[in-house]
Amino acid sequence: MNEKLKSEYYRDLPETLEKYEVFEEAIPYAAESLQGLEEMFIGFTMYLIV
Amino acid sequence: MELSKETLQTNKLFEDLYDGKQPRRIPIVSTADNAFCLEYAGFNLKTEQYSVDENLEAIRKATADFDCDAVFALYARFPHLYKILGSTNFVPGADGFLQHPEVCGLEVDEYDEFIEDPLKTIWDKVLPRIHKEIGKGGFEGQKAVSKAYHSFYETMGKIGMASMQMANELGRSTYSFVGAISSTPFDVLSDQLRSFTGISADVRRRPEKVEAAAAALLPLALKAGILPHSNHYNRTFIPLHMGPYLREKDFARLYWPSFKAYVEGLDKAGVGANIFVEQDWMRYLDYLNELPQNTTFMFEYGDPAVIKEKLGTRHILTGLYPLGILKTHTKQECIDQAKFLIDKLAPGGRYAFGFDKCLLRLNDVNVDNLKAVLSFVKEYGKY
Repeated sequence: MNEKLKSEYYRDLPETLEKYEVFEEAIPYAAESLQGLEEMFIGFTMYLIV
Repeated sequence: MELSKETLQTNKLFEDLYDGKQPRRIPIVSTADNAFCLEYAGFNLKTEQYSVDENLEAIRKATADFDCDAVFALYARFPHLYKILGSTNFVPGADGFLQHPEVCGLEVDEYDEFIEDPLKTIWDKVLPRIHKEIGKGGFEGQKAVSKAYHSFYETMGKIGMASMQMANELGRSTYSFVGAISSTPFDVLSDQLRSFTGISADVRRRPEKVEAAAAALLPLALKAGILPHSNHYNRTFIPLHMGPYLREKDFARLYWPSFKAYVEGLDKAGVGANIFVEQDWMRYLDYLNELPQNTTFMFEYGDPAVIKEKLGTRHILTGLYPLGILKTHTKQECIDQAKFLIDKLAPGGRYAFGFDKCLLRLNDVNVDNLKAVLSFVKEYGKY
């Protein structure tokens, strides 16, 4: 059973970095500040339907 | 935060419990609702429940007064957030207590798009139906989502910080029985997407869609069930709903595979599961036993001897104490019931004392009986 989230409305870290055109050397800093919010958005979404 | 000696000792009870070792005494878990605490503290659900600070003050008072081993209440429903969103899934009743009417966020002809992309369908179709302010779209909809998102994480942050502080100050464990909450994929699909009525028909008329939709929800359930602080001790709480209403062949095909994959996914990520086995699951005990070792099961119903025999050497048991007798029976009868359950379930460890239901309202119990039972368990539960 597939555990990896694929959605038009979700971007994983590489996709997020590409969307926001983040320099490669900024990845360690951008991971939490950009991808963290992407992940929190999923948590918020699920809260609204359970 | 530097933890107090008392809190470290209490944490050790849960570390031993979740590691499958016999702790020095039986840990006592609590699954009370913040509404109980508000009423116990003398607050009114129509008014003070909208204040996060008043809720936390009430929970602190209950945690100080009731001798459990963790913060006394679960505070997971935020009425201010539901007001911001114009929610129809949780609405205050006449006395202010949040009620959960049946809602249907996903229409039957939307299964295919949901299976293709659940997250997109949830935002495009489901949320605008369940939460009326989102459904307005445009600026009003965007404003509602922005306010709700901010409110949700601000409230969660306050609760997390306050819970740590009150646990440490009062010698309670900093491990929460409810470190995160996420339902099984099938229950997510049935509870607020298709509704009890809708899913009951779907199971018979379009089982292949139900099966695919539950599988499609697995990645979202895992995202919601694994938070940054989640681990083997800060566990994810999973309330089970629809299993007992299904025929076993439907359960085996439609409910169980994504449920098992979900708990195994948590386990693979190093996150323990505390599962609230609501209703009567006695016919499914062999399935539950297949879940990763040291999963916790909080039972609402069932024969304690059979449950202990089937699950007690591999998993962790709690629940089964009938909360209702705390209101209707004498203090001694309440204590006798606790002794009966401890004698059945505690030998060998892998047991935490807990009730069969969440304690919702002050009127649900005689608080003197509740305090007497907790004191008894703390003393009698020494190994």
